[in-house]
Amino acid sequence: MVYLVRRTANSVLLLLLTVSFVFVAGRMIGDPALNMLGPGATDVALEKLRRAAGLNDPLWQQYIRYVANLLQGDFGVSYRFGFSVLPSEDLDSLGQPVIDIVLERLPATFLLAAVAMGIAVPSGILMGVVAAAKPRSLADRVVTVVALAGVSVVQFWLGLMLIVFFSVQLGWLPTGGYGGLEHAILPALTLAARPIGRIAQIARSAMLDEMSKPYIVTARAKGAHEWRVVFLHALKNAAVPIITMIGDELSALLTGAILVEKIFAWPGIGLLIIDSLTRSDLPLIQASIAVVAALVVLVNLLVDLSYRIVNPRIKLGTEN
Amino acid sequence: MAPPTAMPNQEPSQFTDSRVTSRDYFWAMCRDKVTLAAFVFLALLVAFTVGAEFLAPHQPTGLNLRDRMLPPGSTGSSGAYHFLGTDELGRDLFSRLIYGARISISVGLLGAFVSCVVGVVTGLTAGYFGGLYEDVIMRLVDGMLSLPSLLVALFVLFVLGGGYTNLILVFCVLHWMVFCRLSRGLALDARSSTYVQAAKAFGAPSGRIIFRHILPNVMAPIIVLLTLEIAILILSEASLSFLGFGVQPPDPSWGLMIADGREHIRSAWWLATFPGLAIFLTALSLNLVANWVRAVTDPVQRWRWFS
Repeated sequence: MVYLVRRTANSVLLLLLTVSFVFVAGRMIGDPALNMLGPGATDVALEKLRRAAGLNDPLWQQYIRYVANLLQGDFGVSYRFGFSVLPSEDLDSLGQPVIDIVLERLPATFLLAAVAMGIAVPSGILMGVVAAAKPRSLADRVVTVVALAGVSVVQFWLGLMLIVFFSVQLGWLPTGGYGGLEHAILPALTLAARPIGRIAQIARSAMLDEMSKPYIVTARAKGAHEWRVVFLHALKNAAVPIITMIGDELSALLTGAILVEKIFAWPGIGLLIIDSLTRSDLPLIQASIAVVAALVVLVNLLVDLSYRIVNPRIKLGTEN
Repeated sequence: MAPPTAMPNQEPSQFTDSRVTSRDYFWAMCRDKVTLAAFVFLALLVAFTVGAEFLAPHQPTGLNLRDRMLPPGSTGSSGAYHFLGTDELGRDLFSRLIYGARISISVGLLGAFVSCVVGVVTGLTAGYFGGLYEDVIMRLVDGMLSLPSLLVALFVLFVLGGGYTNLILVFCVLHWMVFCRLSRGLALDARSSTYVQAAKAFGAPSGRIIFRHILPNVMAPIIVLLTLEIAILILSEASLSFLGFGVQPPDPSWGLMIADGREHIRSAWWLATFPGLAIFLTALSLNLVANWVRAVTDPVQRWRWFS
């Protein structure tokens, strides 16, 4: 319990540092008011906006206000989405709250991540187990090469190639956009390539470690079926490194989605990040980075906690 | 990989009596066809990168509007042969790939090498000295490792602006931690070993112990990680350049070439296919070499390679 509290406190501190860094760095790229109104804005309009948004206050005051608003779930309003040309005195009516825009995009990314992991986890583990069952067999070699290929391929390039083959040449699947499951297949396959490789590699080595242990010999001597020995005895004990890798890959997938969503025009949070960066929409950049960072930190936390469930021998917190 | 003729636990002890020379490594590599192919590919790549001016058949910026979008293996109007075809401005794709290799490979090499130096120095000293210094460094490493690195890289490049130097800088800031964590663990192990105790007893200064005694003994895992990191950085460079935040357009980089080719993907498949294939083969070769180095330097399984 103490461990859980300290671990969570660390994560929150880390998130706060990230948000602060993004805030300060974001102010270095130029005048936010000019950025908001565009180069054609009059001085009167700029001054009006600066006063309304409190941009004339010292930076530390703005920072404190920003963090205070953040803690209440207010990330500010977008410079671009639903932005009205004439700034009124009330800043909140200027544009859409960025947090709404970000949250609206999350389900699409979650769907993609779920389908990708739904493909990657079973196939990766299966490949690793098959390879470890007969080391240096043909199956082992094939798995090793496929896993290495999955790790070495450039994700967005793989996406392009899949589009060329399945959408342009064969016409089986749509080239991009958001819709039913048929729209999710190609981007999810693209995202799954790397996790399949990494999970297969780690599952293979973890299973090889376990299969040479005495309890496996005992189980076999007792006449247990080979599949029972492999899947029930060995796999259960090889689970910790595999789960760590799945967690790593899940957080890598959340950021890897930036490229894949761009290639497939998939309206998730990755595409939103790219759009907000190219439009210099600072509040939206800040909010989307904060949300993705929070998700990644959360995944890491859940992975840590799942060790205890999978392997009761691990007492969390004893390593410190 | 011949089957072991003796019990594995006898073989290594017999083996450690004789020193392994670089010639042994060479023959061990030649026996493993896949690794040999990876080495040959990387060697060719380096040769082409260094000697791009002499080895590229055409100028990478040589426009020729009459020979636009020629498919691979075609001959241009002036009789020039285009091995991999030409792009939308009639530039020879193969030559552009060679010049692009220069940028992609050097970003990967420099970024990985500088992060390696920074990470190994901080990691070895943290593991060796311990105390508050170690706590601070490792807390920093843990924090930075739990951030999504591609996202942070994107944002920092957005603020600083893209380009060759900034890309390398960002890679160093975001990748030294892996080397630090690895070498700190290695230094922790080494600190209690007899050879370090002996060096201490002789009164060797800490700096000498860390860099002349510990470092040579822990080189193998660091080299493996360095090789893997080069591959990762080449992939990251491609991603960031593709999104427009990395290397900027006049310079040909593999990621940028894929981005260009994407616009013509329906009419000219080769423009995006070959740069991606080049990145894939480079990363695959680096991974294979890293696996081989790991196997060859692993005391438990190295006997297989030299028997």
